[in-house]
Amino acid sequence: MKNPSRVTAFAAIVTAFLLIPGHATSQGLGLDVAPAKFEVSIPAGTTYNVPITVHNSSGDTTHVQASMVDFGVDPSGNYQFQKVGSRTHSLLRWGSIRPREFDLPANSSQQVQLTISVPNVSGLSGEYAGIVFFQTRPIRRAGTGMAFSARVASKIYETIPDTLKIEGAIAKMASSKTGSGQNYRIVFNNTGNTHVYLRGQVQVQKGGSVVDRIAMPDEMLVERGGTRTVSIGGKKLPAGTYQAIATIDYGGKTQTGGAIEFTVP
Amino acid sequence: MKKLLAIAALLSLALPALPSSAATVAKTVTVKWNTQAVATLTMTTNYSAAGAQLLTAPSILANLNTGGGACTAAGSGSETASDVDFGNVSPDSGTFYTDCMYKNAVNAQVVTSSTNWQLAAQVTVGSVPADSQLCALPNGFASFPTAAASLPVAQTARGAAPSIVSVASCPAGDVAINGTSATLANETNAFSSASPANVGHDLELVLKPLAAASGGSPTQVTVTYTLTAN
Repeated sequence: MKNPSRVTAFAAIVTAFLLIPGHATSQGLGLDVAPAKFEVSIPAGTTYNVPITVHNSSGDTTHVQASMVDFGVDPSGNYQFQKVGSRTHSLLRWGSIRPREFDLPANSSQQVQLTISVPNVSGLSGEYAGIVFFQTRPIRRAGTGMAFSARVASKIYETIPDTLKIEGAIAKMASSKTGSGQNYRIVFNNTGNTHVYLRGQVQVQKGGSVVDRIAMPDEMLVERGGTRTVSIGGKKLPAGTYQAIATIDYGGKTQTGGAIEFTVP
Repeated sequence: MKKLLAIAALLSLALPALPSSAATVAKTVTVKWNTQAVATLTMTTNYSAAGAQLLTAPSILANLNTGGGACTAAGSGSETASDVDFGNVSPDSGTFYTDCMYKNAVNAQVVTSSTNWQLAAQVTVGSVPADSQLCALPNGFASFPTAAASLPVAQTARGAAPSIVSVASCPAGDVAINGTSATLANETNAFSSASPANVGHDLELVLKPLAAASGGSPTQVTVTYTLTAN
């Protein structure tokens, strides 16, 4: 008879082999970044260091590349990323990161230092912004259709002290009939020098009585100098003439408002 | 002299009272901190019901739209972490579109303390040929971009590949995965590691009739999923 301990050991190895590889794994791509957003206020002519921690939460070693970009948010709320220095209020034209790329073993962290040196020039005011991206390098394999990469942003805002202006206004409003009801389109312009978050509502009146009230989505981001188009659907209205009144709270001292009169045929 | 003694006696009586009156002076300390947002993005392909990476053969459904195209039901037979491989596909040689839907293609899991964030996907290396299209079809919610407060892992509920007969755009609620960034989630909720946001989707490859063959060099693209705190 064979040694029972050897048989047991062999069975354990076979069981482990069947359980571990090839079937399911919690691996994949996993990247943690802190801070994901950082706001700082430093005067012109000073340097500030921002430590950013990147953690690989996947089960495999990954290669991480850090890159700096300018960004904007289009009227629909989608990000647009551009080369550093391409936007008027680019922050990271004054920035540098170290290290720019590194291998990160599973479940380990790397601290990356972002240094911002704001030049000592007159005329700087308001807010400057940029993003540092941390991205896993995709592994391209022969014969593979699609490879994936995870990219996590660390967004940085810097304001020149005592120069902030929070201002904004509704620039345009329109209403149109749709298949399911009435659509309202409100265009907000950020006329200040910092990013703002919007919340608001549209109230629809007929002869002084409120017939519909629609809340806008919360926390809509509008970057410095940006525009946001808010499109919201209201209920179906019978034929007649109505007034739509939009109010938006953008974090300023007062709210901004706009009104239009429209006719439903 | 008597007067002086009386004053001294009064003062000695008054002195013990001084510490108690000094104790009423309040001093304040300002305690400040600035909690920074943290963000985690974890991605798995060919994902399981638990959201884990599967390395087994995927399930690919075909909708040939009555044409003679072909998809390979099990892709390349097994899968590799962070890849989606449709294997061999053939267009129709006549006028019909060929749709191959890779079930449970990608799950992007987000854990963040930010209450205002966005997740987007974009082809960053290579390009989808003009005679083909990739559409992401949401799993567990109706349409992209999601703003749901709860996003548990959800595998596909589709029993058949939807018919898509265009390479110009994807159906309403789906998004095209190409060189333009597509927003998958626009959230105003934080998600903890105990209850993360799972933005999962199927991927449908649409081939135009007579789509050009890539031959021995398969078409490859890299899709980057970007998490940005607003």
